[in-house]
Amino acid sequence: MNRFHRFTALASVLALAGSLSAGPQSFDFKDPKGVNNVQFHLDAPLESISGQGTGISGTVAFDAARPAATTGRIVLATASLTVGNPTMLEHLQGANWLDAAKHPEILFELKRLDQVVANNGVVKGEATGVLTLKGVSKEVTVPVTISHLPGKLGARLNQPDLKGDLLVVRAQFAINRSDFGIQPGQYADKVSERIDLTLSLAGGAAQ
Amino acid sequence: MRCALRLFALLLILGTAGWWVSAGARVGWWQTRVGVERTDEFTGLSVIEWQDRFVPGVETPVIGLLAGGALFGATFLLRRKLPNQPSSS
Repeated sequence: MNRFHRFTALASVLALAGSLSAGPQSFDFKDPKGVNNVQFHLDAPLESISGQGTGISGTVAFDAARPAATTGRIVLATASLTVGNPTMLEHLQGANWLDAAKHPEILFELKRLDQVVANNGVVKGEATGVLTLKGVSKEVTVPVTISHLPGKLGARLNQPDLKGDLLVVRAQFAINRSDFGIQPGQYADKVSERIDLTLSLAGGAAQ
Repeated sequence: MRCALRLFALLLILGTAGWWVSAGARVGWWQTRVGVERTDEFTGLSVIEWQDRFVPGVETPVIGLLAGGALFGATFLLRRKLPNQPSSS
């Protein structure tokens, strides 16, 4: 019996050490439920434009023990951007605006997470990375909220046998279209210079 | 004939106005795509899914009113012409 207790204690210590030294997990952001999206809103004096993009893929390396070391790459397919008005959508995807044919991807490469505050699996911080839009790359810093849900991947996908963690990322920030060479200084009365963006993403790391 | 046309004009006005009101009395123009929000109950994340659907805009009751009004007006022209038509008896 005494030998059994020593064995279980050793196993527990090894398991704890294993979990602590597990390192970052790679979360895949190609969402099987198709919910991941980036919403955009432009509010110009004469026209208000809202839409979203859902063609999201990419991975994020997240370590619950070291959230500041989070890195990753999120890709948004330009062709997946949509607005309610078909004519406006044609213009949006066209060569004069986002030129989806020539620039099929909008990319955010996360370099680091600063000013990290972690509480009960929720990490808040400032994500710094390089945003590439219409072929122009620019470093941006955005406030993000990351929720780490250990062991919840299967529950979300209604697959109880699927083991793994879930990472939910939310961010709200704004960019200027002229910074990315999108008709700089043109049509400001109808197409706002400022683009408000809302990211709602969920990624899974199967075990 | 005149009464039937007037009744039809009235139905046109009321019908288009009723359709517009029942579809939500949208103040904007006609919509051919409608965004419906879907929420993932597990994460709370929401996404808008676009569906091809026609939603009548404010043009609908206006067109109904103009068309119904024109038809109603035309019935007065019809009445003036009636006395000049040869009698069948």
